[in-house]
Amino acid sequence: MSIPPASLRRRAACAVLAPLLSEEALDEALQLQQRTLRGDGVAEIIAFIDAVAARNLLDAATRKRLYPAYFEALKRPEAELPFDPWPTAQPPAAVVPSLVRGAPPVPPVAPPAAMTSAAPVVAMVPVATPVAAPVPAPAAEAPAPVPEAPAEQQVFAALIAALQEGVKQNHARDWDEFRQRALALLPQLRSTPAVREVARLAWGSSEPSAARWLIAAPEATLAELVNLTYVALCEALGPIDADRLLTEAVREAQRLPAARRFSPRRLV
Amino acid sequence: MTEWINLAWVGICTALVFFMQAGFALVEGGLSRAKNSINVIMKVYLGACFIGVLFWAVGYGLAFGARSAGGWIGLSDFAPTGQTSTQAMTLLYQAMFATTAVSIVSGAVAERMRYGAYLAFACLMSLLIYPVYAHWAWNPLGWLKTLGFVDFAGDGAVHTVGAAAAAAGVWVLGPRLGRFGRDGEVRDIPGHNLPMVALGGFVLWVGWFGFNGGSISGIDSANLGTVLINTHLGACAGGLGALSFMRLTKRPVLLSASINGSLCGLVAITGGAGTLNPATALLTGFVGGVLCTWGAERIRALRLDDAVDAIAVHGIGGVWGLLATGLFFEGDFFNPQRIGVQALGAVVAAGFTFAVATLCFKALARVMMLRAPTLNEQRGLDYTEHHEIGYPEFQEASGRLNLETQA
Repeated sequence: MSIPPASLRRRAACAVLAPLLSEEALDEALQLQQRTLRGDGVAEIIAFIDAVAARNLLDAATRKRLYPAYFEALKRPEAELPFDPWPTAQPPAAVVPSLVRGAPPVPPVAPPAAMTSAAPVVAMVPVATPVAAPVPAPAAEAPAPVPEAPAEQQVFAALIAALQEGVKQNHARDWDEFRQRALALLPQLRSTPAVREVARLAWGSSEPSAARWLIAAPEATLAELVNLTYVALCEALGPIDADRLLTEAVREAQRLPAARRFSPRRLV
Repeated sequence: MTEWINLAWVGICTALVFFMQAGFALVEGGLSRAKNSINVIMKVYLGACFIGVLFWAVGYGLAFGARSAGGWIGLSDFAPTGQTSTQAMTLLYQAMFATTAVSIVSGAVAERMRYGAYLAFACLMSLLIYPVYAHWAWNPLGWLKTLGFVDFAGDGAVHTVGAAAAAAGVWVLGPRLGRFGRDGEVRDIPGHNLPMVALGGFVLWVGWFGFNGGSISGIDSANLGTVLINTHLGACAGGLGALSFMRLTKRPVLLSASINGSLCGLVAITGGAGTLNPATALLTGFVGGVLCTWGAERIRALRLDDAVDAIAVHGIGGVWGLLATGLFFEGDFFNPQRIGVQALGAVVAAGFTFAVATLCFKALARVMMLRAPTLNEQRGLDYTEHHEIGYPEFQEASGRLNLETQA
């Protein structure tokens, strides 16, 4: 079954932007995308990423990394993308000029739910902290407040995604071994089968994605998952690279707004 | 008068041997990662405290008690009081040797053994292993000693025993996380502070003058100068042996290997410092340096993770030193009977210690957690075991990261 192009773009945006932006900022980015992005052309994607980067003060290196990441996300199999945060398409509210001249108008959809709803896996986990499953899109432009993922879960997701990204960028040859070792360690996780299953699915993905790592679990479980990931890193790359990647991932996660409420250091 | 001068000399040597603990702390701390350096140094420090007390209370009696159970174990002089000044000095000097033997283990098992478990093992070693072998080798009634075994300052009793215990610990504990790849590759885990290691090497070198120099019968001994020059030449030759091995085999000339080479030269000369001449001391140290550098790689190839190459330095150096003492005994070169006794002493030191130490480690593993959990290896043992870290201003390791107050 083919995905509607607008939905695919939202899912791709969630996949690449969620680790970098707060939920509010991601929400805005999705709305911007909805208003301006009409196709998958390189110029449009660059213009969209540039606009998001400018609004969120992302540095040039990150922006440069986002261009291909977003483009690649659009080409990923559906199973590897987070769920569409706006599953219900909305009637057009207004026609906004495209970033690229001549692009056909796209009907805007309702404002998105919080970024956390981008992660389908979260809904699978029965936890006290409510993390939204796909939320019915509110009508018109006033977004209904939806429960957002707790800060520790956002930080955890960003931390693991940054670790994975670090391995992919610097040790691409060891990426598969790293994932296999992590999967092999998962049975040791002292948590519910549901959480283990969510983590298994996340490790199953061949691309790093913070959205996949939004796991509704208590802090202790998240810290244990970080530890299992560290052990897998040590086994795959050696302890020196593991320490370096973990330190860099913590720095990366500290950039999240949620990190002001929950320091990533608490997970390591 | 001579007696007082001798007493003062042994006192100085005692301080020098104790100063070797600082050398061990520097070498082992520097060769560990920053997140584990405090833990390693704490093991040396508190280990010295425990062993000091236990050796006075029990170890000295077992090793040097005037009454012996058939040359196997001492039966008197426990927790001695009212000793003469010379007797007290002798006890103190021997306590330093016991401390040194146990400190060898702390470096080998660094970065993954729990602090409490290490201290428990240190106590067991200072009660069950070191004094027993010291009795055999050094007590005039000891069975090895009566066979003619020569172990001048402890190649067997200190270094081979320490290394064999370290090997047992390394074997029982297993390697640090990620030390060996799936296909057997050895991954380097460099220490965090090589200048500290170099300083430690020099401190140990200085301390060795007391280690060997105090083991003579007195400062008026005609042998003192020879012992000290042998000691120095052994260290120099050890460093040169390591250098030669690295150059001839086209390996990079590493600081850590050079220091270990000179330390192995010192270890090798320890057994025969009083019975070798300077030329044979030079040869002994040189071969020790070569063997140590070669052996450290062989040990890693066996997937034994010795964090500071203590087994190569003290084990290979110790065994070679005992054999060299037999081979090059001044005035009695290559006497097969002497060499046989020396070999027996070496085999007994390694075999007895490895067996008992393995039992001790396994017994401890049943009653307490021997190995730190992977989470502690991740965070670093400094924080998880001691709630202190070595470099708070700079350390970005996960141990430091976790010091933040929980919100």
